[in-house]
Amino acid sequence: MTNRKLKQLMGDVSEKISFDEDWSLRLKKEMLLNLQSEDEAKRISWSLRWSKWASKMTNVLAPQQLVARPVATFSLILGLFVISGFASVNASRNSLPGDTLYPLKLTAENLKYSLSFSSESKAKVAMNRVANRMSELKIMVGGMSLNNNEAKKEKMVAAAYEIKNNLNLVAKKMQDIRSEVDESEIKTAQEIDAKLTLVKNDLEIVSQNMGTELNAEILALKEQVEKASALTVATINSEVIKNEVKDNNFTDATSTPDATILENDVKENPIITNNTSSEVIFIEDLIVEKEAPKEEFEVKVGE
Amino acid sequence: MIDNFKDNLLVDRIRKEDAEAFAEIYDKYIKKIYRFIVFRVPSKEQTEDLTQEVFMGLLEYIKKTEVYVESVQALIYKIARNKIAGYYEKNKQVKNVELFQENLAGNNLDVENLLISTVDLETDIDQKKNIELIITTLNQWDNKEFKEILTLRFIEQLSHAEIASILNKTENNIRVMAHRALKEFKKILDNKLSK
Repeated sequence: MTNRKLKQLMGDVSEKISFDEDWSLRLKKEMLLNLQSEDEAKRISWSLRWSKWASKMTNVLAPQQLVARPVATFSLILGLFVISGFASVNASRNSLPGDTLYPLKLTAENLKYSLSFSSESKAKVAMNRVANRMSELKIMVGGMSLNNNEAKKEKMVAAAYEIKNNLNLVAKKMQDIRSEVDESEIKTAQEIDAKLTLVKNDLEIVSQNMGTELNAEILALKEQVEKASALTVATINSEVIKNEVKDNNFTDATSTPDATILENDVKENPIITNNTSSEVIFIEDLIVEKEAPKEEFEVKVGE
Repeated sequence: MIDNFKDNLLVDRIRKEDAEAFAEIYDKYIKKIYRFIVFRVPSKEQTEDLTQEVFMGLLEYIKKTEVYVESVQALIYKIARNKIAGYYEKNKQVKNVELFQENLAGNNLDVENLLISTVDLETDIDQKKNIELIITTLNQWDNKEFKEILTLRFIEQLSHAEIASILNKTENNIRVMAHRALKEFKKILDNKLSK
């Protein structure tokens, strides 16, 4: 057999192979049917999913019961307010006095103070306000001269005033918690003490940068920081004393620990107890009756 | 080239849920794939089953992937090769290995049944005999690679380039292999004829 003939015969094989046309048609029909039903099922499932989602959303946004409709609208508006509020407060975090968002920052801080109920948390928030104002003051000082910038000076005086007020609040709250101090309060007092140390350092920096400007305000602030610091230390110490009393009770039942401790306490830390009339007066001096101002201090300075 | 382009349009239409496009591809390739498989599996039923699986695999591939199909023909033959390989892999585990090998060797292949009955026995008797001999020899041939190339080149009449893209080989490689395959196949046939 020649190559040519073999090639020709092999070419003929393809024509001579029997092929079941019925089977082929059946298979085609079956596959197309599957394909169509699959597509149909997909379309149905998508349209079902879509319609379910749409009806759910419609029900949420416009409930069928008329009573629920205003509630839904109110919730939607409230939700929008909350979201935009959070965003704005977040954006106002780095604002300085005079910035558009600054009043928002103060409002958020005041709100935080109003929403804290215990003396401990109020002291914490007040201390944070002190730290915030202090950092603003530091930024505002920023090595610039205030000679030609009266407005800036006013803002800084207002910041100093704000710091003083908040330091008073810290001192007051420290005094409130001193009588029955617990572990978490001790922790808070320690945190506040650390922050007060930072404030002291910052004040030094500010006073060095400012020279004679704002001298009186800074001096007053330094004094205020010292007082708040003394009260915080006293709060921390009161717990130490309590523990010592407990220890003494345990080791020596015949002694009169309360009297001894009280006496030592008064001698070593005149501030930490208000049993004597002079100390009562001293501590009351620290307390400013007015709490943190609710409006921007810039306005108050003008007044 | 134009054929590939047309096929690509059909693939796009299938991806857009057009059943008619699939019908066109089916009509175009069903016989080719059937013939490609028929020389590799022992029976007609298995050929039909595998052919069905090939088209189902093609449909699944087109619908589940977004890959650009360069040549539908190459793709469909590749799927067919994989299905055949899978079929043998699966049947390796058949306990009665000897029986299976007998089937595989084509002893049970009904050549009479395989050929269409319209052949005129009086005039084409020699041709029929020769074709039967070719089918039987091809079916019993254990050189799978040569068998594949011969089928694609001389029965399916595909070009060297088309075969190269199906078998992932170079065109020159296919040219040489097809030549050798034909030579060897002719030798086997001549031996059988001389007997």
